[in-house]
Amino acid sequence: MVATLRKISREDWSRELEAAGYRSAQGPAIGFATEDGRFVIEVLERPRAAVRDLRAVFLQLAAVAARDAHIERACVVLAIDRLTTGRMRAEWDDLMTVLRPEVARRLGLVAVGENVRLCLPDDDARLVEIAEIGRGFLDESVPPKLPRLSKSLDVLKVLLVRWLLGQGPIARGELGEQAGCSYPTVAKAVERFARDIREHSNRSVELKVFPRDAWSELLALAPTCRARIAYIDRTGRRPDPETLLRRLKKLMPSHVALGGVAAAQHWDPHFDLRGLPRLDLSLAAEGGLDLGFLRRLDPGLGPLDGEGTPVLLVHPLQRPAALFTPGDQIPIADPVETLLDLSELRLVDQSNALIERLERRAREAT
Amino acid sequence: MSMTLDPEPLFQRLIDDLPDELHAHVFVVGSLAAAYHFRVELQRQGVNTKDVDLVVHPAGDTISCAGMAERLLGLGWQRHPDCYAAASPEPADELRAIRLYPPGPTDYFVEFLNLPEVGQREIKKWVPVEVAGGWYGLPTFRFQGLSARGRLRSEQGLGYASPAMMTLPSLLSHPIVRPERMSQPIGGRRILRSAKDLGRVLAIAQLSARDDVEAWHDPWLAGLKACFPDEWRELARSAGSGLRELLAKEDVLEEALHTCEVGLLRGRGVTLENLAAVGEQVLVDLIEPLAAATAGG
Repeated sequence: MVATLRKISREDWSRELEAAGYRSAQGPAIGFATEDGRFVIEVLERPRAAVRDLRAVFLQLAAVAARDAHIERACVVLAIDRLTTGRMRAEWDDLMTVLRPEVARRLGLVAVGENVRLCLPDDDARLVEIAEIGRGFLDESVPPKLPRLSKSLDVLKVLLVRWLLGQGPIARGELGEQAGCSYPTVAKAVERFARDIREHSNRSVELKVFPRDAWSELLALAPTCRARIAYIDRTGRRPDPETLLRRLKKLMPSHVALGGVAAAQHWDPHFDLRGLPRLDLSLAAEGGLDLGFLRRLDPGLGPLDGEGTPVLLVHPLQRPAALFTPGDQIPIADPVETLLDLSELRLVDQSNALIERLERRAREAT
Repeated sequence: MSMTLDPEPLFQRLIDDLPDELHAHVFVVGSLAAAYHFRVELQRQGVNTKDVDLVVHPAGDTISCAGMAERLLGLGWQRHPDCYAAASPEPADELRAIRLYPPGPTDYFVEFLNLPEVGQREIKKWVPVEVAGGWYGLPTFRFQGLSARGRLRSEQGLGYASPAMMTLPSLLSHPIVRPERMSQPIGGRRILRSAKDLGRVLAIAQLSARDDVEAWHDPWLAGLKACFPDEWRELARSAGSGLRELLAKEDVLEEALHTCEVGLLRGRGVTLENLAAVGEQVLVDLIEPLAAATAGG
């Protein structure tokens, strides 16, 4: 079986192995070790020439193990992205025959991939433990195919955020940088929404009113074109978004912001809804989709497959500027993302009330 | 044949049936203790057992245990058919456990368990005890001492093991999924003992709020340090290995689910996915922090 997963970074391994009691090691060819130094690990990160790299790491580890009799197990861990498990097992068998037995028996291999787990030798509980740690974030790192709004609507969203927050005009170049589009695309967007946009003599732009028609278009397109990843609680317990929020505040992932009802309560202290129907998060994803924090947040979560009520919704933001606002402990998603979350939650009255309040505040600011 | 017993009246019957002076020397472990603790969540659904596991304490008090058994026999308690005396204390492994029916209705029986002496290495050891001129055995599990820590008290006044300290001994007792199967069928199937014991860990965790499960960390760590001062690091690091193996083997997890469906989680519609998800939470919330704690002092 060939697994086709993206790489797990060394930082991913570092975070999880350290949480499991391993420490970063300084020695050559050793990435991590137990406190007593008897179990050492090297991570093979995205092998370029898979077989050659695997052999090279094995031989380095064999040399380390041969030099230090104190080491009980020296293992290499990798995500399987090109080698089949059969091929890897064959490589292992070959190496076992050429190494001295007292060294060979102290080597180990952990390979993880989607629906694949290979531990050699297979009776070492620590290897199984490491494989499970690896699989934990592999499963979450499967990049889903995300829909995307048109570029002109991305431009509009940035302008709308600025208008709702009373931030004034923005230079076209900067607008393009924040929305992730070229100067001509910004120009097209400005032309498209010209009725709602005020252009200044220095060619900076801003919204002059709340763009009702464009907002309606955004709401209509959001269900199909707005990126979202929905999660359900797989434990069979009652879903508990409040507990998830509390745990998120402890984790404080820097690329994640609160959205939905929790953000609405930030933007409007009088927001008319108590409790949290679900947790909505915006996630800065321009540089890639990093969902690694979810394992620590709740490994009992699973992607919603088909119909069901999610307890967590993650909205990846693919534009370069996340436009997060500092919050109490974790950042707050911008008001436009917040309003879109409320719309998804069918909190129409609350959403309209929030728009009115933000509009009033924006008008007062100008 | 098994039947269901309502844990709350059963605790009351135990209080009524056992002489007052014995109450302070025993506490309940096993499925009855779990069913009693979660009686609200389970809406007083009965526990599917006749077997009341009573741990006699303090550790190694076999004389007190013999005295207890003799006292009960004197009050009209009857031996279970499996409970008969041997002429000599050896071989200890062939001794029968002390299992006694109360006077009156025989819908339950008690089985005496022993607490281990410090340093016991065997997972399970039979300690001979002489009762009324014959020899019986006290099953003595290496990690049972943990269950004596942080005991809770029922409304009726009988002690029982806390969920935290019921689960840790099961995890430690199964660092791997062993091939041994239960001698008696559970729900018509002969189940792997590891699947049964680790399944109960998952059932208890599933019935608990996640925050409550996470809070087991401190009593686990304190218990390990107190009961195994020389080995606690090694034990803490290996505490989750059997659970990991269980979660990685769907056929074994399915056996665990079967024991849960017959036992604590009966009628709750819990699925294989639910158990696996709870198991993954236990690994992240408890097992990994426990292993990490071994790096410190």
